[in-house]
Amino acid sequence: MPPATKRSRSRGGGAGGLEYISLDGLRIDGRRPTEVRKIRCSLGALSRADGSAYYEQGNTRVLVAVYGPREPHSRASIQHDRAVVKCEFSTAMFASPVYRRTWKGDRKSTAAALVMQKAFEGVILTASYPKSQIDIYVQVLQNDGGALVAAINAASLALVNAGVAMSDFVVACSVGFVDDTFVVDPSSLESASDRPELTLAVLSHSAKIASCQLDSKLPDGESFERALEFATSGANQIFKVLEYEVRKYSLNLLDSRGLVAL
Amino acid sequence: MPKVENGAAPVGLQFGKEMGTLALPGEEIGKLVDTTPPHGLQSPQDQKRAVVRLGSGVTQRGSSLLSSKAGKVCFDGRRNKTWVENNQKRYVPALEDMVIGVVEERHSEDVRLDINGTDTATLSSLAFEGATKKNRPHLDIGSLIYCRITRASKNMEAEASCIEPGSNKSWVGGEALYGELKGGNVIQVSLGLARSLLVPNGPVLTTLGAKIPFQSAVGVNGRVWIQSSSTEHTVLLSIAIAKADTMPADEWKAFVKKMLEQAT
Amino acid sequence: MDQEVFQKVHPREYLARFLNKDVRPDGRSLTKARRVNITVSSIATAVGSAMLKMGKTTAVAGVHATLVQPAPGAPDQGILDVAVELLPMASPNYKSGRSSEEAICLTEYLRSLISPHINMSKLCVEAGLLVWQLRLTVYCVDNDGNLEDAILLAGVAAMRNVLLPSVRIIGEEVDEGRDAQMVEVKTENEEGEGEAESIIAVATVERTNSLEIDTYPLPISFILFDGKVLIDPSVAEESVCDSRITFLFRPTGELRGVLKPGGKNVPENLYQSCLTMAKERIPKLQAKLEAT
Repeated sequence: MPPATKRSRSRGGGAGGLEYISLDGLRIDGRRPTEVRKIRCSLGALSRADGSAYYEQGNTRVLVAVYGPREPHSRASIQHDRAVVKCEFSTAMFASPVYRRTWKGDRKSTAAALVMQKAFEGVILTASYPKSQIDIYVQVLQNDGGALVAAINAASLALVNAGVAMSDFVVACSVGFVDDTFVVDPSSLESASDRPELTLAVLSHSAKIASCQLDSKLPDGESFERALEFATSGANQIFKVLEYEVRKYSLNLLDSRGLVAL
Repeated sequence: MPKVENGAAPVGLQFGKEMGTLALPGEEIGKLVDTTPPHGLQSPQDQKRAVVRLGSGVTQRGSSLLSSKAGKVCFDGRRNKTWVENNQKRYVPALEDMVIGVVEERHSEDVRLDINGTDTATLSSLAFEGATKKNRPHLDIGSLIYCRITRASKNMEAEASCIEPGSNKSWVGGEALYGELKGGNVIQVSLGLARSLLVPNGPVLTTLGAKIPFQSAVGVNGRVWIQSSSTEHTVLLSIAIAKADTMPADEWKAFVKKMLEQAT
Repeated sequence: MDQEVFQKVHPREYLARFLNKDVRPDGRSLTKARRVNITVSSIATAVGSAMLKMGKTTAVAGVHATLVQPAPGAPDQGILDVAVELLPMASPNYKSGRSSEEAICLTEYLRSLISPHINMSKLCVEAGLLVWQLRLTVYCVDNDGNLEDAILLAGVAAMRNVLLPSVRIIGEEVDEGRDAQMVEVKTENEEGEGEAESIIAVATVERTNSLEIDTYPLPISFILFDGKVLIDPSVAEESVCDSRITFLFRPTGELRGVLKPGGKNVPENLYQSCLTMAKERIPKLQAKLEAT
């Protein structure tokens, strides 16, 4: 799509506008409000990284690589009693229909990187790896909404692939609000700059919250708790998929190690 | 509450997960149970037996034991030790591990070895059986050393030694278990493959050894050293073992068959 | 610390040991190139894209299109920007931050080989008013050697995959329908005063216009080590080679260029072996590209 300056479509439901939820209660892409998009992922996609994962959630695609624990890049960042976790979030030049510079330093990317760093610092057993550094590199290849969510989920897989010890498994999900309805895992069409969107990262086993962000105010009469409920249910759906993938991957590994007779 | 230390059927530990099943980070694999008898008195032997050893991939929260990695839950009854076995590329030194190190730096009294971990390990040039100040091995940069980890702490650099307890084979003769690996070839594999190569009569080494006689040393840090009578064989064996890391079992078997036919 | 430390300390000896037995550390013969896999159109947000794997070396190329005013000196020519990025995930040796020298060199390499084959006038919508600006970016996500060939092939595949919508400039605003999308291009007022004018165009949602690239470069690279030639080097082999030589062919099989950036001199007989091997490989490579 030629992006120059797009004419904005009229937003919201009602006469003359785009209908986000049909009369049957289905969203534009046919999903129910509580349904997460289809997830496809694979561990160990890259050969040089210590751990990696390729992850698709609907049309959003990300690639995450983990290096470490390894020697810190700069003497200044060494912590004597734990590992330092660093995250970089980068979006490909062609990842969204709207042209955006790939310069990693752009505000949204820096914010996303910080959210991820904090979330994973909380689960990685950093005390097990003093004086070292763990790097998480995210590259968004295609962004159809929920890029941060995809990045967090892919990073969990990549960390597992790298064998980095963690106290739990982080899983993320976002919730949007269209046509007076909460919708889980909004696509880019369903997210807009003026809409509220909640991005939640939870620890799968202890159910604790690793990170929670709400962009924009929730409409009057809608509770934060309800939004959180939706996000948590979405995260549980996603966890089931990721857990299955990790088990499948680990089983394949054990089989091919020659641990079963050749 | 039984004492728990890292680095002793399970005593003081009740498994929630079946042995050999897969666990994810954060999953509870078992609970520590109090083995103190009702009258409160426990003999020193019982206390000792009740020590539960936590290996790699297991972390403790209160009385719960959680997995910190994605892998297979394992238990060793002799040492009352539980751990989660996974596969990864990076090595984290543990006491008593047998590893292959590469000499990176030489100092007057010791050398620094790269052991495929975050940090290096130190090996004293006197840590060889029968070595004295006047008679000790000369270790060049790039030498391969088969050695044992004698100190592994996350806070300090690891220490290695080439002394085999209970053996008095001098380092000079080349008969000692540990020491410099001369000649041959070394390759880097995943930690999982290295561990499986250490299983006695494992399929990979047996299949290869059936046709070509060779010597090998396997380090749990993912390094494998191979030496056979001809360089050609050494090279082919290196490739075959490296491929075992990426090829599924059937494909590997076919690959090796073809390779062995073309070789001799 | 990179995995192959032994190689790091005695890298030449390590490789020589294998080559003396006519085999390479990854099991290939000296004359065998790695399998190339190309997938196109995988990124829906790009007007053209290609994901390429050459063994484990992986490059992701995408083209992004914008409608802009043409440059004053070239009113009927479109604009092509090319960039190569070596991502830190691709190798333990890549650090983040400003583009490394290697990335800058690869960018120039790619640009100089691709630009001549793109007909810029095809990118013109209306002379003097509206042209397409294409941005080709190739990301290297996994470096196992021979990046030059991988990024060039990925770039070529992505450009060949480009499909642009049809655009016409209209006088006034119309309702957007299912088939069309409105595009407003703000023009720069030369005097810099007053309101900027806009050009309103409508673009079809369907994209059917290819760039009609009729010819493109096909690269085959070799390295020389101790008097032996190795096709399609891995990263370990590249690090110890004596010199590197790249042959560029047209899809018809004609040789159109040879690149040998410094390094040891190449004797005539080795040069000929490389050329022969390259000529043999070209049809396979071309078939892979044409299949996309």
